Amino acid sequence: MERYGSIFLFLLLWVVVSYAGIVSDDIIPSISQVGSYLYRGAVSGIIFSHIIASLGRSLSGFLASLLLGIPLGILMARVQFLDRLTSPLMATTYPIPKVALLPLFILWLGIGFKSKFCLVIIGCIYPIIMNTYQGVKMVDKFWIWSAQSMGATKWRLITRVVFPATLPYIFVGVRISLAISFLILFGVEMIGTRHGLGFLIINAMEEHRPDIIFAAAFCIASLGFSFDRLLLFVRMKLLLWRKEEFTTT
Amino acid sequence: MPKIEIQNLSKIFKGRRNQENILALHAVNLRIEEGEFVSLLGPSGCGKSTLLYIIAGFIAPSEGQVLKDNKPITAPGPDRGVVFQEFALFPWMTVSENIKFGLKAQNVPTEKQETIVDKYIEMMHLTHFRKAYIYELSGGMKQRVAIARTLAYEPDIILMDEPLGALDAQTRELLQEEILQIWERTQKTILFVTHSIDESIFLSTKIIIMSARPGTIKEVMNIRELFDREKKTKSNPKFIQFRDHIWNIIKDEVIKAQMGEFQGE
Amino acid sequence: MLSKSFRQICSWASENYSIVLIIVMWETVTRLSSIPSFFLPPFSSILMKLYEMLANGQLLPHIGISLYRAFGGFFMGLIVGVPAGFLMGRYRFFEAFFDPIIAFGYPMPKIAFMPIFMYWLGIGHLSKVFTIFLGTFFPILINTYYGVKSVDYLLIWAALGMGATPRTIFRRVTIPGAMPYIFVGLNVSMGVSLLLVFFAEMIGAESGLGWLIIWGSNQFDTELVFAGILVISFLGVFMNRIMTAIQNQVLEWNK
Repeated sequence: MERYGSIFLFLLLWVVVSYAGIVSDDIIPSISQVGSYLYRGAVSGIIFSHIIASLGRSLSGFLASLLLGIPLGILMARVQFLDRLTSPLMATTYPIPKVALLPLFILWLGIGFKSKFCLVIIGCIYPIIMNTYQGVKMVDKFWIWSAQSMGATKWRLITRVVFPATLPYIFVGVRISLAISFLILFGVEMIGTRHGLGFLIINAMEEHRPDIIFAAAFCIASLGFSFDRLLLFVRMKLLLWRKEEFTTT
Repeated sequence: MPKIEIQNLSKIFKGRRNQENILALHAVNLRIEEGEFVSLLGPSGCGKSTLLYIIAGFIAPSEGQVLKDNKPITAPGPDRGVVFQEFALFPWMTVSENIKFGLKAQNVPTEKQETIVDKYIEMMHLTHFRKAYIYELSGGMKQRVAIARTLAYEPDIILMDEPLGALDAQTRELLQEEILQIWERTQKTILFVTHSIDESIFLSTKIIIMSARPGTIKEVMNIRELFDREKKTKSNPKFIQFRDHIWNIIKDEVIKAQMGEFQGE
Repeated sequence: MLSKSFRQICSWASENYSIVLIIVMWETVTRLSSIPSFFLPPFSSILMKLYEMLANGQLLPHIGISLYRAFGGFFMGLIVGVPAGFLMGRYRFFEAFFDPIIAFGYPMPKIAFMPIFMYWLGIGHLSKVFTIFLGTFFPILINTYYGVKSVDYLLIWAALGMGATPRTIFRRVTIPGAMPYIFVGLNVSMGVSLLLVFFAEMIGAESGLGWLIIWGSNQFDTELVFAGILVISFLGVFMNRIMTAIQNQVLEWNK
């Protein structure tokens, strides 16, 4: 109970502020206003369609970045030639805010789904590649030596030894990448889309509906939180061979 | 024909950027016969592990060659099993999966895999830990799994790099006896790297004493001739006598090695 | 003096030869083939556009505005986050207080707050600064917290044994001990602040680099867009280098 103490405090503060009329509910909507919008939105299915639109875009970009990034990271770490070619490139381009590429993608691919999808992939793929790369590099050489000594083929070595050994590091990248996919997506939906929570929120701002703004923000926050927890759950199941993974951070 | 023959082996490690090259091994000549239990004994940094890794095929020699059954060694392979000091067990696999790894790599049929795993689990006293993950095991158990894993696919030779070095003294004593029993039972050729004089006398039929870096063979002592195995306990006066003898041979090298480290070699 | 910087450029180029290669390929391909310059302008014309914008004073104000907002948010995050992190690391009460805030707040995409701030504060600087503040606050808070927690309690015991007061321990053991983590947090936050400022400016602004390139995109001025991206990239890399250099300087003892 006390773990969530500050959240309750915050909610309490909110209730007090709105009901005591300290701030007009034009600026900070009351809980009931937000709640009622959420309720109506849920019932009429509007909210769900926006949620699905958002999730569809962000998750597809996220998954694509996994499918591309993990093998790339592994290859980069194990093939010396590739490593020397790409490592300095990655290190230099890493601090560039990838969001800067959005206008370029819009120019090239139009304002629709494709440009957004590409941006999500580019934004997500960096942490995946870098963490996978680092993970592979840090695989204990004695594991590799043992497997080789036991006569394992290259394929067996990569799939049964290198990949499982790297998985904890990959998860670090995946977790970051998931957060980034949401970040990029919701932001990008605020620029020229017609569906999705990002669109909903910016539209609400223009129409002076603070209750919708807050409702949408709440949805975004909940989605971010729930998916993070979901990921942690998956991680716990996959990595139960590591005793430290039984904690929840 | 000796099982392993090392001919004029040298190894130089290239120094990085501002560091000099390191001559780890110099002109090593050695013969290991089948069925022997050979210990490589020497001070820290003398290259005994390097020598082991070259025989295992992980590192290539700079000069000279290593022959096994008269054929040069070029890469690691299932004919030479390796047991490492830090166990090198795969933590994402259970005990039995670890033991099966070599069998799977050799494409041993599945039913046979189970029988072999059973055999070695019993031999290494691992019966209750079949489905356990590595993190659940103590140091001694881990090393038992490592040994079982290596024995399972029946390599010709077993190379051990200070396998008992990471264990506490009591577990170490216990495992020394178990390793000796395994050797007697399986008749394998074993090459065993160690720091401990006691351990090498207790376990081996032959001790190879190495000098400080650059590592060369200082002396070869044939233990089998000096002992009747029944009486080879650590309290036997003959044992103690040889322990002192070997220590005297090695002492200078140990000091040399330590001074070398101190001077930032 | 000219030859020294020339040599520096050459050594950078040889280390990052893949980038040089890309630029060279870019220039040759665009000049030689028939790719429309609307789609991919030659690198040299991008540089010329950049020079042009710098010269006629168009570019600098926007850079200044973006940096002003980014740093504003960054410093707010620093000033609030570091003390909060120390409190959190030191006192159970604050740990319990901030823990759920982090659990809910950290995974939330901070950009989603932009509309809220824009609604309250309009389209000017403050909405961006506050959004950036939220973005930098969490990494700084979390890293400072971990930094404080990571200080080996043996060191603290040793200090206590030598008769140090809690205040002294805090100043001379805890703070230096936490520094490596804090700097990681600062480095990350610097990157976040840049990312958020440009993103926020694309969403709702009338000035700043982010606004500039999205405007350029609407005008189909590809060269402007690329020029802007170049400036942003340079800023990102440059700030990262500075932060890392400061980190190394302050943390000499941690090597």
